[in-house]
Amino acid sequence: MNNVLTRPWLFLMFLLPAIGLYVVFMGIPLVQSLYYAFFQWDGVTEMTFVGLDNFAGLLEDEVFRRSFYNNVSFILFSTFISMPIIVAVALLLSQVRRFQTFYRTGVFLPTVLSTAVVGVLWLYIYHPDAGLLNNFLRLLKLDSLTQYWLSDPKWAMISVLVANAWQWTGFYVVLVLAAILGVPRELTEAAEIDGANAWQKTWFITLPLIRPVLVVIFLLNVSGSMKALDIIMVMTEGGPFQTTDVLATYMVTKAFREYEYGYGSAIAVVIFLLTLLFAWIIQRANKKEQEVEL
Amino acid sequence: MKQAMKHAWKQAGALLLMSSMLVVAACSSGGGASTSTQPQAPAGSTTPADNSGSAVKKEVTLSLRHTQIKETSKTRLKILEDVVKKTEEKNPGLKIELEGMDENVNRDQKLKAEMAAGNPPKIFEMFGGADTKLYVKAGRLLDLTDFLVESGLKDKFVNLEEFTVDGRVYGLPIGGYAEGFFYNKKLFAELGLSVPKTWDEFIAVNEKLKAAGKVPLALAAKDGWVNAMLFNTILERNAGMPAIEGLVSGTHKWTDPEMVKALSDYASLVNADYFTKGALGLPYSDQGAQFLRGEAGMVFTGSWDATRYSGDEAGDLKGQIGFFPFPAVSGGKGDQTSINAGYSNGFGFSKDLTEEQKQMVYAFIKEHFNEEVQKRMLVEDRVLPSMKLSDLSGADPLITEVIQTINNASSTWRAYDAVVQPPVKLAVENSLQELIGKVKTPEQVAERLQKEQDKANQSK
Repeated sequence: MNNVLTRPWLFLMFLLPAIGLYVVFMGIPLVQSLYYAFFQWDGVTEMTFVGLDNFAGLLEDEVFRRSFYNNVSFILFSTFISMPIIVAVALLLSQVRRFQTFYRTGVFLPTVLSTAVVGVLWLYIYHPDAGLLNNFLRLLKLDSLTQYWLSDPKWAMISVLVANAWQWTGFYVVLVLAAILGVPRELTEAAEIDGANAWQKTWFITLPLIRPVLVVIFLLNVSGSMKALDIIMVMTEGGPFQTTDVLATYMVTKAFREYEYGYGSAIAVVIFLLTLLFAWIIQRANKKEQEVEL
Repeated sequence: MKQAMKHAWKQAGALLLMSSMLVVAACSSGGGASTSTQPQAPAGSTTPADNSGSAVKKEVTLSLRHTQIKETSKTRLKILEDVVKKTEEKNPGLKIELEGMDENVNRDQKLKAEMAAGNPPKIFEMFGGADTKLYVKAGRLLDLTDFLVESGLKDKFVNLEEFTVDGRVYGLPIGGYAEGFFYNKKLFAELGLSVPKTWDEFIAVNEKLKAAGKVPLALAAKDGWVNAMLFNTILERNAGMPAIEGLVSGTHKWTDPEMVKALSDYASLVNADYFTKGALGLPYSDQGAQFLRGEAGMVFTGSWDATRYSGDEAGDLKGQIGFFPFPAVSGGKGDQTSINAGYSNGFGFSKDLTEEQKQMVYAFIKEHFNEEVQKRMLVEDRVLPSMKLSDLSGADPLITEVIQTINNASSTWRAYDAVVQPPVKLAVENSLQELIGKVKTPEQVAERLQKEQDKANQSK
């Protein structure tokens, strides 16, 4: 194996198929979008070069800004609401002695479903008349709490966020659970001997040790949030009146409904750059913290 | 060492082979998937046989893209298949390859991309209006004018306006539509209501339905185009078609009093709670479902829904559903007894044809656009015929009522979104949702629409 590593061209040959695929499906489209972003183009007739006009337009575009905030709310929701729940559920499951597999499978189940299915499922749950949620509230005589979940701009975004979190929680719980179960027993035993209670064991031993996994989940959450599209498409299509649009759905609307490919491409480029930026910030922050600890 | 080297080489070779195989497999499976959705380029498959006579069997292939893939469009697909079969029988050597695709995918993505690249199918379903104009501009559509005149087909169509660009015809409508109110005759009879002729009568009907605990107007507003239908007619009644066209040329503005009046009229229906509650979250099919359950008195939609309303889903209401045009608005500048009707759903044909293919395309047109097939579509598929039919017998009563309504209308006009640019259309749809959500006033909405309109008018 050493021989291979000392020969750059052989090394390259191994990489070639992967690089080829990457360039065809990632590199070329990326460069192409960047190129289109400088044009005004309806997708069929001639392209007109407009320089940075598309990007300048984005700065003034109210819907674009709102879409960006919605992406941020995806990130905030998954970080401050989903993550604690995920860790809590994983910690609980790690303590369960009997039927652990059963619970694990149960929690994981939503992840197996396709987003379209999840979206439609929650459409039924949120349905104002026939929906599970409103009927449940009515059953508890809490009629005043019933809402038009997906048609009221106050509730639409949060409703979508809950559905989205429900879909992905299971996947992350399984990840965290694996990490928790991987924590060496000696450490917790030693802590027990030192007189640590369950809370202290969790806080000072388990959590620090599963931190790498949490960072990965956070990173996945952020990049997932930036490219969120399918769940919105199925559940609200950005409505009511574009209040639940995220960057990706707004891009689709611009490019494929309004036939402004250049503008749509500009949005795509911004999504890419923002995701890159966020990923970079997180990794840096993480590295710094690790250095401090060392 | 040497042995190890050799071993490493072998492994490297095997790995490379395997990975390249994977690539090939990936590519070919991708390609396989796309060939099924891509038209076979028939240009190469035309084998030049002996050209001694015209009756010689020539192998000609034509690709045909349709969008009749849903359960509800089974009948129309059957009719199309029959037409194709007949055309093939009459023209030995001809092979028409059918390819079905989702209508939105075809319209918004696939066909558009093919038009840009220059490789659309030879025959394809296409919309009139903006779509046709765009493709003519790109120079991809077959000019049918001369053929239609020679074959005498041109005068047989009710209206070819939507497919006509600069006096030339580039497509043929399969059927037409008209937009108006479907109403629950049973409910109207129980409450002693009659079909409203004026806006005031219309409001009175709404009030009575509401007082009886019914939803006056079924609406599902999640998809913007659904609520735009009713608004479109209110807009025409108040402002008139020339004003709507004036928006694009710049002679009229959304902020003009009659436009704002239209927006406030629409808002007044919202504020009086005539629409289905929570409409903004409901998908299109829900409004029909609510109407057919008998919970709503009226629903404003297009004649395409007549198929559903006269079908089995109507249950007890089968035969109890009627159709009437939007009432007159006093003081409005539009044609008060006109109707939004058009013939925009049809076929387009690629310009990129060999002479033989062109003849076969003409043969297909003759086979598809004749009284017999149109009659079948009317009776079996309940589509408004796009050709003038001498005999309407056997058609569903509801469809007959729609056709009569069109015939009685003082004029017909095309939908506003065939006039204004796509970004404006979307702005209108969003603005109406904002009115339904009661977050904006008609004046605010008008301002915004004019801003969008200015922007759209500026670019080209």
